[in-house]
Amino acid sequence: MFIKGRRFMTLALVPVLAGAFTALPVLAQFTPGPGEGPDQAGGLNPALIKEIQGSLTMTPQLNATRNALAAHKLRELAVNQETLNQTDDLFTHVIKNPGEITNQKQSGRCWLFAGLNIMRPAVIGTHKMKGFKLSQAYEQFWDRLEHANLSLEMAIALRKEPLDSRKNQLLLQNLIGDGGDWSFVTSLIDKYGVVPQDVMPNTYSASHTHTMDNLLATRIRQAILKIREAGNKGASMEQLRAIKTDALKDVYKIAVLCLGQPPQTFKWRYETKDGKVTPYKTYTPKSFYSEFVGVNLKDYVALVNYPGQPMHAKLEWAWYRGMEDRPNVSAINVTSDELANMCKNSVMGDDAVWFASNAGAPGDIKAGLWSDSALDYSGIFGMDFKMDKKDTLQTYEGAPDHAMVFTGVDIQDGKPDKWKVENSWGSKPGKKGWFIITSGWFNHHVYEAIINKKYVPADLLKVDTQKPVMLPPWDPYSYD
Amino acid sequence: MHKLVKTIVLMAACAALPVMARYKPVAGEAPSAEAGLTTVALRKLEKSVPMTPQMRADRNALAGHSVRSLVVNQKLEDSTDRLFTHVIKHPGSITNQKSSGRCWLFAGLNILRPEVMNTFNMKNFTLSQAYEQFYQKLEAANRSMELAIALRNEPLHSRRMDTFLQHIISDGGDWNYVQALVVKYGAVPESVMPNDYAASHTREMNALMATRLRKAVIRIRKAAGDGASMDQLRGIKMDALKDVYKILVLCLGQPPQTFQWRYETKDGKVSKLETYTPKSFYKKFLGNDMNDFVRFVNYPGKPMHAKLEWDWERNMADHPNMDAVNITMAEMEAMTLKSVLGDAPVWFGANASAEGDVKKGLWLNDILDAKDLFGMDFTMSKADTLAYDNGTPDHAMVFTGVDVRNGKPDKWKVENSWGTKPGDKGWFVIGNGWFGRHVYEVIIDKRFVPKELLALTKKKPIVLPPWDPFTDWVKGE
Repeated sequence: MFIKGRRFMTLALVPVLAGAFTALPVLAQFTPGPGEGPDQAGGLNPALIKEIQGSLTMTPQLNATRNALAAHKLRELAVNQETLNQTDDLFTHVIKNPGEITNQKQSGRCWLFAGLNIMRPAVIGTHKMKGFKLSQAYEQFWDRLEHANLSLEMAIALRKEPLDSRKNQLLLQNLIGDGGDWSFVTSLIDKYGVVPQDVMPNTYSASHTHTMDNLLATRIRQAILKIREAGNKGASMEQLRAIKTDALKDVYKIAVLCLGQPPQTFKWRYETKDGKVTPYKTYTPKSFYSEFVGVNLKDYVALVNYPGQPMHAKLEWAWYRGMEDRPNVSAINVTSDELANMCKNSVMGDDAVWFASNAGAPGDIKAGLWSDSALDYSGIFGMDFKMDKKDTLQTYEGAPDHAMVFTGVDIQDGKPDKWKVENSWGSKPGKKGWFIITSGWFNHHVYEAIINKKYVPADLLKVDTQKPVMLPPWDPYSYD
Repeated sequence: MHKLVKTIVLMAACAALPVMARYKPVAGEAPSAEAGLTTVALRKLEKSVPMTPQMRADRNALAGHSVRSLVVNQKLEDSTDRLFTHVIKHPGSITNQKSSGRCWLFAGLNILRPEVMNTFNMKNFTLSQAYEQFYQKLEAANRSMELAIALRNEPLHSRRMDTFLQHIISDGGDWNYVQALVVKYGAVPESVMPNDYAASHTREMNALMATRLRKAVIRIRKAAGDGASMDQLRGIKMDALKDVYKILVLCLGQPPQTFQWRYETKDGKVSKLETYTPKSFYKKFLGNDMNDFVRFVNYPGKPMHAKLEWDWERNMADHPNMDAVNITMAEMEAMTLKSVLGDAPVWFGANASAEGDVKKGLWLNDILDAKDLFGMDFTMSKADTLAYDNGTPDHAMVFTGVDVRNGKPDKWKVENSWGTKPGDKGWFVIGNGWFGRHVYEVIIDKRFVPKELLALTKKKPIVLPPWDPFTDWVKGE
């Protein structure tokens, strides 16, 4: 380790000074490592500036580029028209009964939207429904509460750690983010059930989470402050948990006001494909799940492609879970080809696939096309911006940041050529909300997929019982 | 024998494996059943929130409206006028940083304007932000490459390495960046190098430069692993800087080396057309007083009247780190008042995300009354706000006026750089109470600084780590 950090003083040697020191605020005296300080030899001196300037000749071509860029978005000028024109909107297989496009709006609930959306086709098919949406706000309500509980428990665990330690800083910066993963969805459904969307629709704050989440974070920070103070005075675990419960009551209240009270029972009916209305029935959220949705969540396996970590091993991310009393996120690490193959078999079997990718990677959002050649930055600047997947993750160039659903595949010469994607950004971008991902882009930017056991080869399934490789809470894969 | 062979094979397999960042959670970090939200615990929470008629009314209002739109304290807003007992002379026109993080640069160039306009009797005057931005990016890229070289043996995913990679190039900055840029590269009028699209919308340009720099970091680490000399490592750096330069020329335009310029005076006359270099322009119009400014912060939680230094926070590899003297809010208020009354605008850093009505341009304590709506208190002390990451300085602006009542500042007039739509045609108000809670940093001309505070700048600094939350905005978070 290179971090030298604080300088400790032996208290026994300087008892008088020690008294004075405890009264002072914490001094985070930091010792810079070699070469980190200002360095004349590293500065941009006139000779270097001249060399840099001399390296660029403004050809007519570059002048034209510069003029175009003066008033236009790079992204608009870089759209590769040939790629766009050569990619059609057809697929050799599309799953039956997809639901309507949903809209997560200004919230980070993609993982939840995608998670609830993969269950729809089977339900719509089985019950011959006209359309069907599950309430995202209902799961979000319980996720806020569970997330707050998890963060406060973590603060109790870290109460003796210095406040500016890496762990505490990470915790404080990610107290109650909107993010999540597939296992968060399964934990929520398993514990709280589901309700149809009209029973608990998205309120303003459900779709625009910034202010609500900020208020929740502030209330949780106040509690962490109290927990640390009490911890220093030797408070018992019971006393610490009482501070936690006080905060959770306020979290609950904020969630009720901003998202509404989650129903305990509700009456509900639906319209069938042939325009008939079913009789009313009363459900609880859990009975609704088991009677009406009935997907067995335990049948799904999480698979990732994480180059840089051992292949065909089980990976686990410390801290990364939706609830304090549920296991951390874990997954089997497979090659991109294996991942694509399982996704293909699943889609061909009419099972929609939840997946996570780096949606910030090059793509034409307006046209709804994620392809490695969708944006030609190299052509504009005459330099190569490509980076392999391992380096991309390791240098924070990119990481999975968005979850969506595969609902179709275009097979050419026996191999997936492109994928049909159900997004949750409303029906404006893409083809009325539907997107395309090419097989090349899949290889570079798709990191995770959730596959029903029946499509997972037996030798891979066995890996799931292995002892996992534990990754740190600041692992770039789960960082966002 | 058979066993041994197996072991050797396994060992070889292990050596070929990538580095495993195996992490060992300490007690309490792992999932725990007893700490979960049990059915009993959930019932208790539910009971603690009875749905009174008041609660139902609030819930109904919140269903279709943003929290912010419902909690603006109307009484406070109505009782705040836009008048000030002293306003500095010759403010320039309101500028617009648009979708970029250049507030520190806009504010930095804007405090220089009033004196120039006064001295030269100009009708208006704006300095080019894009010109400084161009060299800021080039210098920041060089600084990052030098840091990458310094950290070449640091393991990936160490705290240092991650902090570095996550902020490899950003829009962030502080006063000392403006100072260093103007002294080294001079300045040009805005009309000579205006803001092109990418100057005002930096996201894509920054992302491309970051990619290019990350590729260089990978190369530097690989070369260092192969025993490359410092010269060879700096050669990799220069390759990257040439590409950064090219991206900048294409996105922002080539910075002029000489230019012809004239201006309109207040009485409608046009001055003589003259030829300048950026440095001769700086010398003629701005003088040499960039070094007359002293940087002060209010950082409760750190020792008062100490000098603080932030490691890595410099925009040029060969310039000193950012530092400042830590003072009380009373001292900060007194100097700011003296400065504004002396017609010298004050560059300052504040938490602009804190309580405020941006549409109306009002930053006042309790102007957002979430306490009444939710029935709970969201306040935190300034020290705790910083230590617990509940708020940090995130925006730089300029004080240009003050409303003194009963001998004390009651509110401040603020020149923002968000264009003329928000606030009073772009001008904002900061209440003096808000100043106390949410202003963290001011830049004061030496002549308004008391001797005893000036003496503190000579102290040996306390060095703070690169991940200190106070400089999140400088790093670009």
